[in-house]
Amino acid sequence: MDAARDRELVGRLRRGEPGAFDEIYQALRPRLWSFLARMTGRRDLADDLAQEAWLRLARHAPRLAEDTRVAAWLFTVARNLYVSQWRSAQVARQLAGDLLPPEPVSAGPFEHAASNQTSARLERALAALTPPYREIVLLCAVEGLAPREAATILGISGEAARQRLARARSQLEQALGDLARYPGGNRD
Amino acid sequence: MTEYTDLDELLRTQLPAHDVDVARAAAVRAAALDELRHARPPARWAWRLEAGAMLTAGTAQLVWVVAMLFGGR
Repeated sequence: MDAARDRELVGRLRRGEPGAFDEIYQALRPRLWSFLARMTGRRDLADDLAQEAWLRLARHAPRLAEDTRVAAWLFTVARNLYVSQWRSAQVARQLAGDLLPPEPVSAGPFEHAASNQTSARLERALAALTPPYREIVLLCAVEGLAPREAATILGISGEAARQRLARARSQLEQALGDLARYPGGNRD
Repeated sequence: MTEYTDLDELLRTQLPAHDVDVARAAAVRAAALDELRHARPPARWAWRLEAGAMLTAGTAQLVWVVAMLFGGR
């Protein structure tokens, strides 16, 4: 959605128009849910976090600034919800101590649903990245946001975002090997 | 300006967005629309009340300080 379209939708949403919410929901629901599923590695958790993000949008609708970029706002909320959930899970793991077995390297949430081997390899490589690298790859490479927009969502400087993205791309390319160098020649 | 690399192209084409199941999507939409109906814009009088209270408290403190300094004479 471009800035003018965002402004129009936000204006209607501030007035409580259900049609504006529906348009945003239709356009961004798969993107937001996929982002959360790939960050958490779990579809059920993504369901819960996405639901909370949508409810917050509805709750805050009258207080949104006129120039709010809806996608950036939603991804910021979703990312903050993910970070809170991740911290709680970390605390729970520390409290449980040695009682829990070490977490196995998880497959991506969509790996089994991938339509071909290339997608499956990408999902696995993405899931293997650390969360800070995974989120910036998802925001910039998959969602197509500019590094400065991603920086705002992540609460870091533009330069830090660019550096983090470069390192994440490098790790991903290493993990993908030939697939990253010859993307056109390895489709099945 | 966003720079696109081969890797970005590969990720965008091979990692499609998936969607929530239909029943779940409908339930979330209904709950959100309900929230939207009940969401109220911030009351204009709320910040005025707060500003008034702060001003009153500030004035009272100033009067107290002046009274302490000069009240005994």
